[in-house]
Amino acid sequence: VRNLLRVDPARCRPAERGECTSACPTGAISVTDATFRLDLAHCIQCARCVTACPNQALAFADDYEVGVRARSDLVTVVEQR
Amino acid sequence: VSDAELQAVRESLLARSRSLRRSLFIRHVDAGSDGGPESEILALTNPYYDISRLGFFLTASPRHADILMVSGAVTRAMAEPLRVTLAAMPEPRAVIAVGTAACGGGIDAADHVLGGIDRVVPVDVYVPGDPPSPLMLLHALLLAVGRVGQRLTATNHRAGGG
Repeated sequence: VRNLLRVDPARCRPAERGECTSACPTGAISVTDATFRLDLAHCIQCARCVTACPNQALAFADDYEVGVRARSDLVTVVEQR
Repeated sequence: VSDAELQAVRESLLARSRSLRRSLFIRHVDAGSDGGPESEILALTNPYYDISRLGFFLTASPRHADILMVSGAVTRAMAEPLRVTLAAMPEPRAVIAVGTAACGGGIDAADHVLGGIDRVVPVDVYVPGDPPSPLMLLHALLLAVGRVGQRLTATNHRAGGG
């Protein structure tokens, strides 16, 4: 069992190439010119994006307190700086 | 939102957390799961995690259950049985979506599934993970009955933030 995927906003460059999106088999990651969006309700922790990311922005966290009361809390968005 | 409305919400939450206390029985429904979440739910009852020390027990009947744990992306055939199961449970009750598929469809977001149990029944706690580990499920159970707080929010998914 892997824990959940996390993104490091300091390393993430969604506008560059978007390898994570093409690597994701479930559509959990979507990237536009300005944003990176990860929906944990689709992520199956296959780690393909982790190996695909050229900036090492994606990694698995080690916490387990991940229950949420709202579906929207499973979505994270990183804005391109 | 007025103060009176806020107070009403506060009181209903308080009443709810007061009522879901002491021994709680869990009914699990597989609504099209791949079997991963079932393995983790059963692991909760082993001597290592031992949810009975926290007052949680698995039960075979929804009529005895306080908490409904649902896994799977809800196949069309399981939508109605899921509704019936929830309707058979006495109030107060809580519903936990167990795993990525139950939360939003996961890899199975196709035509034969509805894509998440919140399309069928109201969900109190979502647990992502494919499958979620027993510790994640334990946190979700305690969150559902108000014994711990929520840690993950939309803003602290990021590395180092949560």
